[in-house]
Amino acid sequence: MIQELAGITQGVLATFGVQIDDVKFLKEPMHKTSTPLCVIVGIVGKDGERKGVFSFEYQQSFAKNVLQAMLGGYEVDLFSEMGISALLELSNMLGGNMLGVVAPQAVTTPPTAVFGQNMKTLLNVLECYKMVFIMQNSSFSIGISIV
Amino acid sequence: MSKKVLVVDDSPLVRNLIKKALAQSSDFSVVGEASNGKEAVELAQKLNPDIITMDVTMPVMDGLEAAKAVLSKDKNVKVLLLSAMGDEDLLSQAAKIGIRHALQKPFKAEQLIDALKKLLEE
Amino acid sequence: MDKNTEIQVIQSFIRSMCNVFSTLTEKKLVPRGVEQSDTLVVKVSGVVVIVSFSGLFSGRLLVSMPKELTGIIYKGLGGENPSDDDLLLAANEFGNMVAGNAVTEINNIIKGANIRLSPPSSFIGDDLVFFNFKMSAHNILLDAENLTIRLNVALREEK
Repeated sequence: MIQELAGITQGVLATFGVQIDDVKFLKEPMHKTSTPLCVIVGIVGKDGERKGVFSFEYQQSFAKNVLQAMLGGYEVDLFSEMGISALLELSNMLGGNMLGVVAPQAVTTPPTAVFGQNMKTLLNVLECYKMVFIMQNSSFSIGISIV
Repeated sequence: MSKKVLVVDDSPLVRNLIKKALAQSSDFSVVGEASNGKEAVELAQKLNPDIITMDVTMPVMDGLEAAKAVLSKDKNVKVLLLSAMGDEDLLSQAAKIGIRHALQKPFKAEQLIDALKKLLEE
Repeated sequence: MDKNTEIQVIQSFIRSMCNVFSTLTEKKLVPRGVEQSDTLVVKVSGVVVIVSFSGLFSGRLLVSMPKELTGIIYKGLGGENPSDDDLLLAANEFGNMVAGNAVTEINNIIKGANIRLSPPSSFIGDDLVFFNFKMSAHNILLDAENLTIRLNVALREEK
């Protein structure tokens, strides 16, 4: 399944002209983040039994490149309303696309972006599968934890 | 003689809270703890508890599934469902597998002990 | 989303916060008042837990509190001398209980609401910034032990 999700992610990024050089896969005992900037999207089943979290961890250099690609080559301040809205929109899109594979009967919740330079996080107490997408010396990770 | 309790919750904090609450009553003694439904079913077979306090949302196997599995092997064990949610949907799902007692988190020690005593009176 | 429903939802979250806090800590939490926020940017330091939800309407609950207050909650959950990781676990559990209790009430009083929760996510740090979009938000400050908890509820109607 994780390979399929990586393929879906690369497909979505490719529609914005973003090409990924490499993908790595990791598994962690709890869902945490390691970058200062991330977007969190919740997963809820229609009957409430399935629930989980998507995390989208952006290295700032990756985020800037993707934003530029999404906004037709225009440079935009990552932390402006437009910049953050675009990242939220992208994360929402990725979550929605992956949901069909991860939990077809579920829906996603509104995305929340978080920035904290030295923050510690605990996004979910469940084990987490992570995909790390590498592009031009910057990276972007997607984490998934679901019951 | 105190009743044997198996504590099932994926949160170590909540398991601790339940153990501390039950330590206040000589009527109950905690004989084991499980962090998911599958462990709960295995430990229930091994330890033969009188009561199981069962969280609902857990990884591997959820509380309702675990309760169903335990009750199919031992109809005498009593199950108290514990959940942060207490809506009618959950309660009706629980009733279908023979569980009529639930307590919403958080709870004070006295509330938990009272709930377990009511369960035993059934 | 109609104003009355919005008010009912916010009041449920406030009641739940106060009840859960006092059950765990045996201390009183007093709300100062509700203000509609004109921004969906929340800047805080300390411990934060967010719980998102979806159903008839969707949104996000954010609870922000100082480490000392989270330590009091951790103690209420049966722990002593918490590390940052313990505070994160305590915040997760607290957020889960507050959201769970509030949503139980909301589902019982608003017909067809069917609100379901995602797992709680917690954070510790200085100068944390949270952003959402396309929602309406309300800020509530609550006081306990000369410390303040901030509750921020963001909502949007689902079509």
